Amino acid sequence: MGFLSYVLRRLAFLGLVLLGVSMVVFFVLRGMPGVDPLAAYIAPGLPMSQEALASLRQELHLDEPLPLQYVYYVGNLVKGDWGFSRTAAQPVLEALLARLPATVELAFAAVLLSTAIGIPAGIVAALRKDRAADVAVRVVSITGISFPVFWLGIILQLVFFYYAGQLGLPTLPSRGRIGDTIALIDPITPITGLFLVDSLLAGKLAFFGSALRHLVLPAFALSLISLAAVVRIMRASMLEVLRQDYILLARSKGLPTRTIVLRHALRNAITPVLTTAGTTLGILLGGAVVVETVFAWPGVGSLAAQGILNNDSILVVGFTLFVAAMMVLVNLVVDVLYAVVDPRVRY
Amino acid sequence: MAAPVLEIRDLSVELSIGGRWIQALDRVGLSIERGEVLGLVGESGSGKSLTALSVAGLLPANARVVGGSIRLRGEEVLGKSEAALNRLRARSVALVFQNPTSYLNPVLRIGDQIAEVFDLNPELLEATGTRERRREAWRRSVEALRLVRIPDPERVVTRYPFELSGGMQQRVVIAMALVRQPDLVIADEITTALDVTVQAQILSLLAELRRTVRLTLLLITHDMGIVAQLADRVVVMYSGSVAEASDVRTLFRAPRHPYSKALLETVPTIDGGRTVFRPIRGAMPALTDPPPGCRFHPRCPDAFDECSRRKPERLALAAGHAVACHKYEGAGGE
Amino acid sequence: MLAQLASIRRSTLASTGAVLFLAIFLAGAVAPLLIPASVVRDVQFGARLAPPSAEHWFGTDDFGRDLFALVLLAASLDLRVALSVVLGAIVVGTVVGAVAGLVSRLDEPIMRATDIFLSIPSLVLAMAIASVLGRSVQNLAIALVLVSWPIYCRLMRGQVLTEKQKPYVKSLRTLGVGPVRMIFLHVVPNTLFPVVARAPADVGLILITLAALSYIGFGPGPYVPEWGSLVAAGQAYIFQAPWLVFFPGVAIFLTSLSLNLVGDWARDVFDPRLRS
Repeated sequence: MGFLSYVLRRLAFLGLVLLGVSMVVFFVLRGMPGVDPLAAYIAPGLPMSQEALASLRQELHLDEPLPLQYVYYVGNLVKGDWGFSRTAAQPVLEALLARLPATVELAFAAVLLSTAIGIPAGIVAALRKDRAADVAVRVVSITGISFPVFWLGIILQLVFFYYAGQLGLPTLPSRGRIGDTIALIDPITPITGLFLVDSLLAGKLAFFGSALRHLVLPAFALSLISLAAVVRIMRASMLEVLRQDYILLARSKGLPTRTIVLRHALRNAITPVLTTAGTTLGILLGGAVVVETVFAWPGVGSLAAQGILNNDSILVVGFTLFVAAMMVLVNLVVDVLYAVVDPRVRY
Repeated sequence: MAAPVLEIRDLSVELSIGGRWIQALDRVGLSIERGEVLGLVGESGSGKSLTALSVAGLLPANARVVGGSIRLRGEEVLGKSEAALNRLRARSVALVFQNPTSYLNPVLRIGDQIAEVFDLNPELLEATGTRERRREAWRRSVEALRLVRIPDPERVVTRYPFELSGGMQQRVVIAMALVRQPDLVIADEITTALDVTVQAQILSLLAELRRTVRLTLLLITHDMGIVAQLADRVVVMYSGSVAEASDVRTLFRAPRHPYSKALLETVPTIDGGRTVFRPIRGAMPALTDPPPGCRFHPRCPDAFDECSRRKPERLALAAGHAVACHKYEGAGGE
Repeated sequence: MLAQLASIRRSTLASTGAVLFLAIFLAGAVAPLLIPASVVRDVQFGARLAPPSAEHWFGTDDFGRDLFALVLLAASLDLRVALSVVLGAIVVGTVVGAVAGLVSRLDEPIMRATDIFLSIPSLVLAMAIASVLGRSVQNLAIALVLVSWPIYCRLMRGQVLTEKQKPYVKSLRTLGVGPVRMIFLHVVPNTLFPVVARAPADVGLILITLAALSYIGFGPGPYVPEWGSLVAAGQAYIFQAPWLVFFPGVAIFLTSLSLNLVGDWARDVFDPRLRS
């Protein structure tokens, strides 16, 4: 019972935050002083007649007081009308949802990589504090986070695609999600939209292989963003936990180090990592915009980047709201996981 | 005669504080026979906990042993590898610490924390097959809780530590110690963090266990009352060395070392309706800046010249009674 | 505080970072004074896309301009913007945070506001703000300040709340010391520590975000050198002239690395409790 009420409380709080974001977004769209709200809806170079403009004004309720406009706006959001994007030539929500699986696949792969490498690295660094392994881990992770991601992506393309090709070595693809030939010859029917999952479900291994190879470079570039943070937090948290009294008691029972770390320490130490998972995902989503652009990955990030270049404010603003909603969802999942791992939180 | 369960001889330990190594334990010695309860008494900072931790090889990273020997059931503990020490901790010596709340892992259930002892001592279980063994380990944990008089042990065993009171938590830790049938249990100030009524319950539990299980116990405390209740023999420590060692009756009736005398006098009495407190003057010296000679001499009512010049050696006054004090040097003692 | 700052000497990693950053900073500060504006403006088709040589240390770009000069000039711009953004964010954040901590009625709304800002990833929010304000370096800077202030606000508020509980504040109150005086003379010195702990790494983060945004297309045009836009411009010639992408990127990397090295040390020294 405590568990359920905890989840509901978190949901309510996060819902309020989302509402707040929608207010900020709405203000940006309609309320900015000195900016004509209609401007966002008019394509440059495409003149509209007076009647068209007038009917647009009415449709958007632009003559009503701002708070009322906001109510209409939220109503539209809930109905699924997030506006029409010039760039995507589609309604905004539709365009974003269509490209969402690609970004999810990329972000998920990046998170997987950074935790799979980061958590063990952080544990090792904590256990070998101040010795060679610790310093090495910290230096590597600081170096990792200092790379500008867009630049790293380009360099990776250069090395693993261009130079490897020049030298006759096996190459990794530098663009897109899937090889063009495979997509034409043996396409899959999308079920989840995640290429790796769908191709496995359909048993199409060639497709799976190609999708995996296309995922490697962008996922790696993206994972570096969060890697340093994961390492640092895991290390600090583990150090903190290992100083605790219950670890001393566990040692006094004669438990070997491995058991102490895995059974006693890890569950206590992992919670800060989970907490930052929420913020990390946010940073990853921001980084995804850049990585998707560099690797021509057809996700929501590259769409947003195109929207910026096109001055498509409706798309950009819709993207912002979309990202905020995803963050809220992720934070909720993290909070739930928190409660699963640490029973004290449920009360 | 069987070897003592624990025999510490001339144990010296140094601590690294502010970049320097300073002496924390100076040739400490004690021994415990099977079934005996030894009270290790002294103010905080006297080195009692360090001595206890040394027995299990659990000294903190900034401590090092610089001399002496610790024999557990005849086997030398110092110099053992970590793996060997783990076997020792799993089977021979169990520790119970002061503040039970911080010594129990908050995210694991009580039952899991007790049952994991059986992972290290598989020979204690009779069943075969992993599932049966797990069930037996669980059952034995419930029994252990019953042994320490925890009500409704079947429910408690599924609970988390934060759901229990301080007294119950301490019983759980005691249960964890007993369930592996160790040769020696070391209890370091286990009632200090509990309120008085709970303290009394724990003490009576220990007294009962002493009878039923033939508990061999190193009881560390600063409370002379507890010593009087439970201990067979007493070792008094001051600032890293042993001041006096004797059986409990002799210590209470005729303490020799001035510090032992002063400690006994600190137990408040009620005299003519008023409570009388007789604290010891001064404070224990900081380890970093000890007085020359006998470390107690600045606070000692009987101090004389020799006391500030040379640290007293341990003298045997009678069988089982030793004291380290210049007053008793030279033939005949007092 | 000064003693702790001096202790940087004890950490080789952090001192290396500090020295490296100072070198880059000096180069950036000096560059606009030494390099004539003509280097940026004049096109020299004869020397287009030349590889690194004794004459052009970093090679030349598609306009024949010396890349080394461009990278140095860009250092001036990028560092100026990054440092002023973080400074601006600290000022705004600490003031608002102090208000939130002191005026309990305003605490709740300010905290909700920071929640909202913090729930949107910084790059995305900066993108949204900049796209509405219009493309210019100034607007980018404003957007980045709006993105960075909430963290400092939270830090300051937390510190103020903790300090408010402390006995010395209550005794100052009874002596009649007004709240404003109290903040500046007593509370602020204690609250600076977590801010100093965060600031260096933050500058590095802002720098990369700035370069990333200008890479995407928010940057100033080809006549105002900026690291991110230099990379973007060079990407078209990536196979023929990889140095165009390489050197500006290395500049960003080294600057960010030096700031992160100092930042990691700063975090340990000034606020070891700071973990997330």
